[in-house]
Amino acid sequence: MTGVKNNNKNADEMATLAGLAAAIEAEFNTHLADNLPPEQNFRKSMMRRALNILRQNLENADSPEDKLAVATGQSCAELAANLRTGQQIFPDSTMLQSHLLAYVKAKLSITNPKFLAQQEARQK
Amino acid sequence: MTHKAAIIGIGVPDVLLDVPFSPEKLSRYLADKVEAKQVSITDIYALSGGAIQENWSLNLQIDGGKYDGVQKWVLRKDAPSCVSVSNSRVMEFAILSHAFAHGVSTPTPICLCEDEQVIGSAFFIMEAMAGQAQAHKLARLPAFAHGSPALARQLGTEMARLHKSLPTAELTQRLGQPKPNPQAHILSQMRGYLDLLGASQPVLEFALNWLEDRMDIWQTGTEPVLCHRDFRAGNFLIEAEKMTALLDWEFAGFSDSHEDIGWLCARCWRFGNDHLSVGGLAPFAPFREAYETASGQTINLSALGCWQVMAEIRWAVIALQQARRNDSGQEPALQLALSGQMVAEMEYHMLSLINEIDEDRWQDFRA
Repeated sequence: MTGVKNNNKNADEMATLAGLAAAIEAEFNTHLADNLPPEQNFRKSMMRRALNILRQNLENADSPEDKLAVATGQSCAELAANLRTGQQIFPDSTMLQSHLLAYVKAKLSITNPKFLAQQEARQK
Repeated sequence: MTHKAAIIGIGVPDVLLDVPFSPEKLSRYLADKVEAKQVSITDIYALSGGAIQENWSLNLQIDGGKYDGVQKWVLRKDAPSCVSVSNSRVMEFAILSHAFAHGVSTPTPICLCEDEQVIGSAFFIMEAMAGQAQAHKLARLPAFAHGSPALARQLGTEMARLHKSLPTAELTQRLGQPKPNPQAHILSQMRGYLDLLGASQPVLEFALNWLEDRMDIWQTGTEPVLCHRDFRAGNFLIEAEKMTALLDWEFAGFSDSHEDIGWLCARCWRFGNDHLSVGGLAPFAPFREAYETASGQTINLSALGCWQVMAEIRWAVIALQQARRNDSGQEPALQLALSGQMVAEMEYHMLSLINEIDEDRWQDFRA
């Protein structure tokens, strides 16, 4: 699951965690990353990417899964299960496709916004 | 237990590296296996990449026997955990040897060790080959900016050579008889893997249903052939616009030949060069011409579109399996965890492809 969702945590706690993640990310990028030897470049880029995803997740109050559930009226698990059993979710499958695309774009805005921008430009 | 070995090959001389097996024990085993008086490992280091298998570079000084002299070999072994779809090292060595014998450019297979006492798991040794495998870097080279027709032709010919090769009865027995309907088999396999993962993946379910509804277009009616099933940029070495070796035979098995073509041309394997259908390195037309000439088979473009969608699904499932290895605590590794974060990219590709095919806007292979 891309979105971090924890119903036991309120908005203030999530904001605190997001702040902590942002501070770790800034600390890493400002003080550590440039001091790593070249053979650690791959690890450095993985760390940067992971910290960015973590922060973005914590900053987004509604996860992509939550948004999909609101749009379809079904949780992600229910939707997947209903698709597996061949149940018709909407009268028109293009509507479902459109909700799924919005869900994927919401995930990409967290995990890889650059990829999303490139693909959207390609589609135009 | 780990052992300290000097690493020289990655530019940090005189640093000690943990090697998860005894180089001395390995030397003794190799000396016995290649009938040498002595085998000395002068350098050993882990090669990058390979989230599923581990590859170790070995620089050797061999005294006596058929490999007398300085040798550069690669040892391939299981990672601490592996994905469900992966062949064993024993099987992989058998397939590699078959492909090599049929003229496919692969590393020369040297020997297989099934005795887990030597380094803790089965492994095989192959010759190290020259060339660059890192597809991200290859895709940025000026030689590939507009795509290499020469590479396209070579890839088409090499793939056809593999697809035309007839496995021995023994290899067929090991691989299992070809499934009469590879499309139905892979659909069922992917759903099974999602069930094992306990993953709720509505986009993947939607794409699997879409393929199932198009079985009449997807099925080509051709006989299943031996496929590499991971034939893509990143899994072959390139030197001077030429493929020197096709690597990583861990997923090989019988399938529809279009599965390999769809995988090679999948959007997820173009590394930013979206306009170059063949692995982000080469155009499709010369690939197609070379493949059809060498194989005697016509590529069915409609079926290929379906295999492209399946390629995105399959890579997404593998990425989820890799992430699970981390998430379960079985093999904590950031690289594995990040694989799971890539799934949305494959999902974007599958939904775009489905939409383009449905609306007759799909142009990946149009001249």
